[in-house]
Amino acid sequence: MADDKDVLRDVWFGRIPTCFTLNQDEVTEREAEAYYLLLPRVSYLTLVTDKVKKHFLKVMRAEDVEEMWFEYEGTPLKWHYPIGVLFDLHASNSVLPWSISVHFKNFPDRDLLHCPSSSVIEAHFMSSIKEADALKHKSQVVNDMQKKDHKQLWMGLQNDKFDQFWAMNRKLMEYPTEEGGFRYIPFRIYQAMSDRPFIQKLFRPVSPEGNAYTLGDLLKEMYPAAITNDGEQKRYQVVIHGIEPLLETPLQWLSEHLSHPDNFLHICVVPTPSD
Amino acid sequence: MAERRGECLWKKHVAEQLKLRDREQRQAFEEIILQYNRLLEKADLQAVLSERYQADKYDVQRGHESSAAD
Repeated sequence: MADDKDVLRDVWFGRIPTCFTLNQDEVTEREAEAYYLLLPRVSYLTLVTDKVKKHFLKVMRAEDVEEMWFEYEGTPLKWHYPIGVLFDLHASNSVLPWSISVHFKNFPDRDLLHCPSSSVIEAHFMSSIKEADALKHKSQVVNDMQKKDHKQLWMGLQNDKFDQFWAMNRKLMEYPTEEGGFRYIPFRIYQAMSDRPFIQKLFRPVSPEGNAYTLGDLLKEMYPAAITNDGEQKRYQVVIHGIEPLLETPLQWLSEHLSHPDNFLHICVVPTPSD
Repeated sequence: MAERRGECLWKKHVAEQLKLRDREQRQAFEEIILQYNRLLEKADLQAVLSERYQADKYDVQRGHESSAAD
């Protein structure tokens, strides 16, 4: 269907306007201007911020520079979460552009993984795809692929090539028609107000009677507080790629169309703004 | 038929919300960020050029001083 392809493209090309400023604790030789970028929602912070690093290094002394890391309003940003998830979870109801602080010292080892090179991001990305395929097809699709096919998925993401990525990714999105969907849906539910990283359990797209489960069914099972009953005030927003899909949206369709390139459906539950 | 209309509703909602999201988050900022980055590049170039100009001026002055001393 034509509009399904549009959804895939809109998800892939989603951008977040971002303002990077150097943290005031950093010692500089002269003042650094802010740096602005449109960040791709589906990529990773450390993969797309080479220019940010270059910009701020110009005002730093080499001996003051350690590994670069990012922070938003006191929260260190995990590079191994997709950028869109970080924004939706921490900043979706704040004013644009997204204001991120750049650090070159005091790396928060307890909160963040180190990211010495893009091969670390590649390994993380591929392990997510493998985990998702284990849930969807008992790893059959990803294991049938060749090394160069894996590379094509990664290069597609790294170089922002939609067609290159989807030429391979569509194989990961196939399923036997008679089963009506994947074996299990690869999903993660993130909560803004929790120390727990995310909720991830086994959940099938189709009931034993053959009915398609919806986003509402998933939440009822995993996070009932996120569902508003009749007459109740809405306490939470359920956000995927910066939008709130209707609760009656079938989960299988969401998994095929609103997953990130890592093949997981990343769902953010954030408190409804009070104003 | 009723089911088809129902299907259209949730799908239409996703498609519309994505378009709205892109208007607010991508299109509203695309041009101004591009222009700002151009300005930043020009400012950097100016800084490099004026540094070089200062260095040249210093060399010329030193040249004058040494010839005056001769």
